[in-house]
Amino acid sequence: MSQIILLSSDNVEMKVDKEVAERSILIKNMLEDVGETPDQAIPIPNVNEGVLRKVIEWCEHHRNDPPPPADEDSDSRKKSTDIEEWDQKFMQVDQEMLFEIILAANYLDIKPLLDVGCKTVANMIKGKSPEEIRKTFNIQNDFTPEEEDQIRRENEWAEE
Amino acid sequence: MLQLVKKRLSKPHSETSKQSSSRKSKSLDDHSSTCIDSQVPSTAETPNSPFLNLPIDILYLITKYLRIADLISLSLTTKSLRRICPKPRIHAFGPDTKAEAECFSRIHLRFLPPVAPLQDREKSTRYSISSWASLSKRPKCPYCSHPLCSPGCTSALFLDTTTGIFFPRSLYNLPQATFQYSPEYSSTNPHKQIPPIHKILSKNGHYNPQQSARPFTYSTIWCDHHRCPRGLLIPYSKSKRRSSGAKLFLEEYMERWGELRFLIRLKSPYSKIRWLTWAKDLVGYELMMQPIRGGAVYSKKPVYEYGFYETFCRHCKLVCKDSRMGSTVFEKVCRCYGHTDDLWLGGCRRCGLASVKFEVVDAFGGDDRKLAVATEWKEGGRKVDRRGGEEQGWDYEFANRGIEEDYEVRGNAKRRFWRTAV
Repeated sequence: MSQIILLSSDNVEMKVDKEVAERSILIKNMLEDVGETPDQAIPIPNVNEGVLRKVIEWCEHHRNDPPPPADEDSDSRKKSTDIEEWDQKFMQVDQEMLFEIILAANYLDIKPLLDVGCKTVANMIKGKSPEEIRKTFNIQNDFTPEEEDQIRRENEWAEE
Repeated sequence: MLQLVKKRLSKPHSETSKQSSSRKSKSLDDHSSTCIDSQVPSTAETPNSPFLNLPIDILYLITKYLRIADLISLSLTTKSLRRICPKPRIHAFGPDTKAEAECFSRIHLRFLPPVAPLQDREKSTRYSISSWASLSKRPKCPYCSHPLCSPGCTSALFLDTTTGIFFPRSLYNLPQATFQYSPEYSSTNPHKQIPPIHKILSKNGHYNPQQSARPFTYSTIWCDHHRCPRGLLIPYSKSKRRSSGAKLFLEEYMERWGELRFLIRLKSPYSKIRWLTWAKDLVGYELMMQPIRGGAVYSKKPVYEYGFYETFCRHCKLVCKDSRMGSTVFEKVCRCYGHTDDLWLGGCRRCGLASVKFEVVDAFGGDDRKLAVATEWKEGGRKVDRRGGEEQGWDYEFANRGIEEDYEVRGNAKRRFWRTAV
């Protein structure tokens, strides 16, 4: 099986099966355009070694997954936030790494990984009060009490 | 070739991807320019939260997995998130058509007061964050499942289960308010039976002083936060366009409040000179176009809205009319003895009377069915608005509207009536 070399932003080379790397639509399209397996390292300028290793780990585990369906209805209804057990464990990282994985998945165009990342963040928000969300994400409250009260009132009709 | 690869990877993936993705994400290089904090100037120095540094398109993907309540909580965390989070809407209840939007706005503009300044509103309508989280436990409207406010909501109009009329909160004894379709019953079945009025009254049909004032029961609340089943007030709508909520409303209306169909009868049967006890208010003009050769002629057709006045017993919330003759509008009349019992007009001595002005609303697509909404009332010589505040008397209003006041003498009673100058 042919392999390619990926070069992280901190200049660390990683050998990856081509099939695994092609979970990234960005790399897949690029390889298709080039038409042959490159013998030099492919630079991934925005992803550092640690994050790239995590992304590759995810791609290796999901290498045999069927390709994701064509773009879902962008005006989607409520989506399920269920996450597979392996993916849940995979996403048990610190917040900084989680967001880096999401950004990398977005950049490399790995939609299933991006979805798992977004679901993980959504699950961190679900059912929490604004104060709990602030604590979770280290957000500083910049509302005055009056503003908070006003906003709450504006939305008091809302329901699930 | 490596040059080509480098060139491609330096571009955002959306430019290289063959897949027609709807996500137009920026590259990692770009995200600092699209992150939330940089998008919206914040008034406070926020710590460098990784979450707030996420590009907006990623945040948008995350919000797609959140419920409305979570979105609101998220938007309450910081001003920058507040500005970019989509305004929460109730998907299932938002107007689908222009006509429905009109229906929403009509009931709001005509019968609900404008939103009061924050300091004027009562604490009872303020929700703490914890109570906010329990939104789903609130009673729901049996017609459209929208969560209802508490009876303390300042703009509340209660659909009285006995009469089918919308009454303002201050006409009722709020602590005893009972929601007809409390959560233990199905939220979609409006047909739970209530005790008929004759069981509430004493055996001989009169007020039983041993019985305390009955708690009033309401079927739903209209207020600033919940207006109507969609389609209820759509003019000229076809029946097939009615929402399921409006159909439920109509079903209950026909079954329980059929007497309200007599609202279209404008004339009092008591009076030989046919006094109009109804207010006829000119609310505007409809522009009529008549095509003629070479153009068109426009004329204005006046549009009127009707209202009527009744005296209500504050004990039983029924109209005080001669119990032997009944009412032109209401099937059930007050039988409380005490206040004006010598005239057979009922009225509870202990609870008192209130003169109430009702405005008539065409409902269910403009057929003969109408709703009545109590919009003003008067007790002890002063007029009270929906919020319970005092206003100028009706006399002042009538003088300005060209409505004349007159009296009808029946026996020793002198009843006050009004007629319009129209």
